[in-house]
Amino acid sequence: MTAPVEARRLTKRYGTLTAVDSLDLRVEAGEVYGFLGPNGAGKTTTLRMLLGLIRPTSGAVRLFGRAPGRLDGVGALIEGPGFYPYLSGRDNLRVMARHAGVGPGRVAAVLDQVELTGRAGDRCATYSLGMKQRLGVAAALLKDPRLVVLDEPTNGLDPAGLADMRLLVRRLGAAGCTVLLSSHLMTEVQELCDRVGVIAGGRLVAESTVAELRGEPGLRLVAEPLEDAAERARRLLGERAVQVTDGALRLTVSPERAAEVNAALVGAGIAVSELRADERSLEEAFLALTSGASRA
Amino acid sequence: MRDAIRAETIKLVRRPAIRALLAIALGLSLTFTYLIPYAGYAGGTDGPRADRGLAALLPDQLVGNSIGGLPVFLGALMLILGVLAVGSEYAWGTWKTVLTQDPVRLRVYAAKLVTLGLAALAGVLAVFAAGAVASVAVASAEDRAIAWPGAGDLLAGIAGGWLIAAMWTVLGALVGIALRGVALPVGLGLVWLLAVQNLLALIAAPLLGWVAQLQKALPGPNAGSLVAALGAGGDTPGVEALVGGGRAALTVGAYLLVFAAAGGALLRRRDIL
Repeated sequence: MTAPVEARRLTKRYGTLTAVDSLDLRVEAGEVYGFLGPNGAGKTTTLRMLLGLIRPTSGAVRLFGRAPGRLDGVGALIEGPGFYPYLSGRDNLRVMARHAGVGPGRVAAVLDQVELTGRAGDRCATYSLGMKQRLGVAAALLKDPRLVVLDEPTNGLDPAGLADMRLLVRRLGAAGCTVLLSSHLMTEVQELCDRVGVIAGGRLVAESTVAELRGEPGLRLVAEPLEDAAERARRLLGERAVQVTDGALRLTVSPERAAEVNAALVGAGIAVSELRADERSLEEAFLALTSGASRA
Repeated sequence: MRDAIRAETIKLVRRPAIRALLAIALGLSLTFTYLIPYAGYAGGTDGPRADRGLAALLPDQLVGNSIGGLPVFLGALMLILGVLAVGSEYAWGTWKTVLTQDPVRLRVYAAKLVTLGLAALAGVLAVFAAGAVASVAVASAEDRAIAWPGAGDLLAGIAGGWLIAAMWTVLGALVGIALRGVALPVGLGLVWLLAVQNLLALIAAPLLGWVAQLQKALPGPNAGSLVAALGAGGDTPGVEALVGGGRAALTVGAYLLVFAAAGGALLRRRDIL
């Protein structure tokens, strides 16, 4: 089956600056794919190339197997919503519906979907950033798309708006829509995405499931004396499973073995003051992956 | 394409700035073509149009009076119209929204040009209509017979006026695309139309033969020649018969096509940032 998004060796150079460097990306049908990266990593440039707004310097893009230039079945919100300030939200969507070639009936449906019907008659210039963001998502949904590309869709949203947006993305995913979601909000991606691609310095530095990216779970142990505890733990779990960090031990071992580890250390006369499951957050994994590239 | 034209029409018609432009065009046109000359005539004042007197304000002069402003000040307003329609898409970041709905850039651009062409025609017709009302008012006030230009002259005047108005509008669209915005294209466009054209005509051309020849190929002087051939008074700024009417019409038409093609090529080729 043809993937909704497929990019091969995608590259964009501006003079001597390489914004996106030989990037391979494949988003499977029906998945919610998180596209992570620090500011300036090349996320938006990549998404613009996927949508044909920017011409790649080299490489190939296929959406549903088609070359750029056809976006039927594809909706997008790229880097903040752009609307006509003198038109109402509803009229803005009517204009966009005309451009998209969809019936005017879709306008009411998408306004309802983003819960903006009540303010749809007001001029767009009077909208808050969060309302404009929701209108942008509504525009992205006009074509009842099979693929939605959302670039930082939660920018400017208040906590309630954030929750609504997460719900909307979940619903889209549950309805079988493929979602390519760019964000730098780890909790958002961790909660919503099936797979994650991490871009740094224009290159894709990791691509896997959220769980894989976070790595193996482990145990955090605080004990006295720490060196003796480390020595005992190494004998029990192996050299590579024990790391000393911030006055504690990080043990790469299933949390289910906590009691066994505790018994071994206490039996050796070591005072254990803290022992708990320790799972690396996506943020930690992200920072570990991108810090080198960001500094480069 | 029809849907795209409707979308562009909604954007243009609902925009307050466009309505303001039309009101300014009508206000300036009536003020300088009818109100001030008539006030001068009524007060017996000598001035640029005093020699033409009342005769220049009557309905049979409608064609020349209506299109006389197009080489300069009405042209400037048409250029602003073109810049607003296209340059604002960059200023508001709406290109990306539009082009993710319909990625065929040349279709969107063609719809814009068709809409701008219709807007230019509406503007020209509005100036004709306002002039007709004003000239009838003058004729009635002075108890003169109301005689209209022939239908052929009227149609030729509207067609010529539209050609010039469309050329300036499409030039505005081209500059808006080239400079990706509104402020700079409007500023530079007005400097060209209101200052550089006059400097070339009044200072450079009398001094340098090659500038005088170059004038015959530039859009403004050709617009001036076309409206002169269609009956506009030679005392109107920018109106001077440097070349014949037929050649002027062909030159203005060629500029219209070149500006439209250049704008399309730029929009198609460049990244939407």
